Amino acid sequence: MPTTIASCPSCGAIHSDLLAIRAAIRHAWVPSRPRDLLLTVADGARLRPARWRLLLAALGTPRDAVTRPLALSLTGLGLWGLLLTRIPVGSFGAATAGAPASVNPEVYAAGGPIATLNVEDRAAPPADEDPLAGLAAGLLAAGGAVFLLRCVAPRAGGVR
Amino acid sequence: MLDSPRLTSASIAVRRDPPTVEDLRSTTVPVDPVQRRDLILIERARSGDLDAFNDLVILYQDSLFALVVRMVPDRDQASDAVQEAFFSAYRNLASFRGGSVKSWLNRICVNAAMDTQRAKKRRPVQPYPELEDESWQPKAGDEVDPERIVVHAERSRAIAAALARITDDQRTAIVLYDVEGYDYGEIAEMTGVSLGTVKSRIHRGRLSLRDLLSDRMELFRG
Repeated sequence: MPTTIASCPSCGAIHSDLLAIRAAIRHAWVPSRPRDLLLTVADGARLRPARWRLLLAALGTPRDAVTRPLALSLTGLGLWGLLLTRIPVGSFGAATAGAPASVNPEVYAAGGPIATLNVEDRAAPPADEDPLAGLAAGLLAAGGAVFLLRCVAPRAGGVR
Repeated sequence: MLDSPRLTSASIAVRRDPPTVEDLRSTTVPVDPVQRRDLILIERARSGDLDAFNDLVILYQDSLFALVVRMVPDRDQASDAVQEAFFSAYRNLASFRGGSVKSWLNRICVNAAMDTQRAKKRRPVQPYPELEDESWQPKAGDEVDPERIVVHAERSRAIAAALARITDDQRTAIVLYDVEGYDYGEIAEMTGVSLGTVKSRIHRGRLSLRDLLSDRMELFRG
């Protein structure tokens, strides 16, 4: 580029014109401000956001020291709760030692699904029958909701 | 200044000078003094102190008006746009994410100016109708040589008239790049277009300005 400007007179002229215009724009005076732009007390009252909006906007900001640990705790507790209630206590041992014992031999013989479990062998009850599992699922959902709120709230309350 | 109906009919919350950097030097916020002062004012404003926000208005209204009036070549519309930007900033104080308060206000003003540009397309006005009036005079003490003042004023008017004749997009890109010092990426993000579009607008805008000023270039070569 510098060689082009040096070797081509018309390119050099354009370049120097553009530099001169750029400098002039930078240093040009602008019209004076026609009025003061201070906010009146009435403006302040009219524009002050509602308390719920302030709370919403504060979520997910660096000043928000509550929701992240809360979401992590809820999610962690929920996951642990689900693990403890949904996985039978003896299943880890059974998985290594006697997993085939829990499979109904008749299903094998009929050519059905290989991993179908025998109903009597299931150690953990379904979630809807276990209040602890329901509680864990609730905690997990609440943790997820708080995470989601942290993501969405700043965008909802932000300034363009 | 005092002829504004807003100022005569309503009580203004601020009747004091904004705190200087030295006033706030004892507080412990780990940033440069200006930014520290601004962050303290923002924190006070967040807690409901309108005076603190008006201190920010006093500190930045001139520079923000200078930015917007270059983008919106009409003093009253530019003034309204900056006022709207301050309203928006006050309304959204809680969403300030830290960093430079000046940059945050600049961005809000750029958005307000672009909104005004869009509205102006629907009802166009004569750009700089007061081009010949006294509002272009520099502040006392800026220049001492009368001849230089005349040349500078003539340049400023010629530049403003040429800027008013290029497209809004080109003018915005040139002002943000050449005057405000933003880089291509920042301008692309602020205006919502690609990097290539920003470069193209700046290039085409500069060439258009050169064409518009071609018969007056001797004014700028001195």
